[in-house]
Amino acid sequence: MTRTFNPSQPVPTHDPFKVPEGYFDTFADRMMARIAMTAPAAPVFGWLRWLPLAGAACVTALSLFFVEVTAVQGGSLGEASAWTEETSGTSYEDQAYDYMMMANAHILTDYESDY
Amino acid sequence: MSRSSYTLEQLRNPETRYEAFGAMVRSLTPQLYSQIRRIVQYHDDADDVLQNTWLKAWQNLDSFRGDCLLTTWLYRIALNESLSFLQRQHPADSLDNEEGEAARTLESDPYFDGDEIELLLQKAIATLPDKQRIVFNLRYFEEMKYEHMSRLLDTSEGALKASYHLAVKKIEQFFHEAD
Repeated sequence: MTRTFNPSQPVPTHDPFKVPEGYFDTFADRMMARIAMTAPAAPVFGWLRWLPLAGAACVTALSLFFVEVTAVQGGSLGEASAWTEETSGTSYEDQAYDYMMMANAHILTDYESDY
Repeated sequence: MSRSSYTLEQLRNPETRYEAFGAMVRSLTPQLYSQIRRIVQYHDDADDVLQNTWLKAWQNLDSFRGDCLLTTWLYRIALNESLSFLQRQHPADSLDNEEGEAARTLESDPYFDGDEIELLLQKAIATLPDKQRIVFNLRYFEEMKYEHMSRLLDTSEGALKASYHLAVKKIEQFFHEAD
């Protein structure tokens, strides 16, 4: 027997996919029992979608703040800050990262250089 | 007594939402299941995807703006869930492995009752890339218009026609090689 596929022929009416007996009779009850334990996403929590953006804005603001502080201190305490940098090996940028509790500041640096 | 009908207003009202949603599940489950089963092919997988579809619909009910039919929205969730499922099933493996797995399981699947040609067709469909598989099923089995499919899948009609044409060619080739 030759087995061919012809898409222009009528689609077979027989459905080869079967379901266990009573599957559709019990599905809705099982599903609704599961749903009863799940709260729908309420619009009141819509503001949470802005949380990552707000976090990023805070980090940017803090970074700008420390850049500004560095510039101001650079004028009057230039020598002292240079000494601090040389002896302690900690730049103001690092201090900013410390302040923001970002222990792996190098990750940010790598990210910036990669992109 | 469980409700047998539902309206969009009832689904939006927190007081009536749960019961109305239950009525919707009872009413639309068979057709959503059929759609999902054609794509994932096995009953257990279809059951998982169907549950995820209803769960997503419930969780995102408030985001349904009503700019399309509720059934179209549900259909879209079901297709996305089916696609996600397929992608999780075989993230980077070869077509040969997929084909072998499909053939082995379909033939021994107690909930598959197809003749030789139907089995061969399902094996051929299983070799198609995920999106092509969805396009083929919608067009061939459900005879869905490209225009409707385009809105559903957010893809141009031209791309869908090309995808279906490619799928048909691959299935014809599969039959030819199996003969």
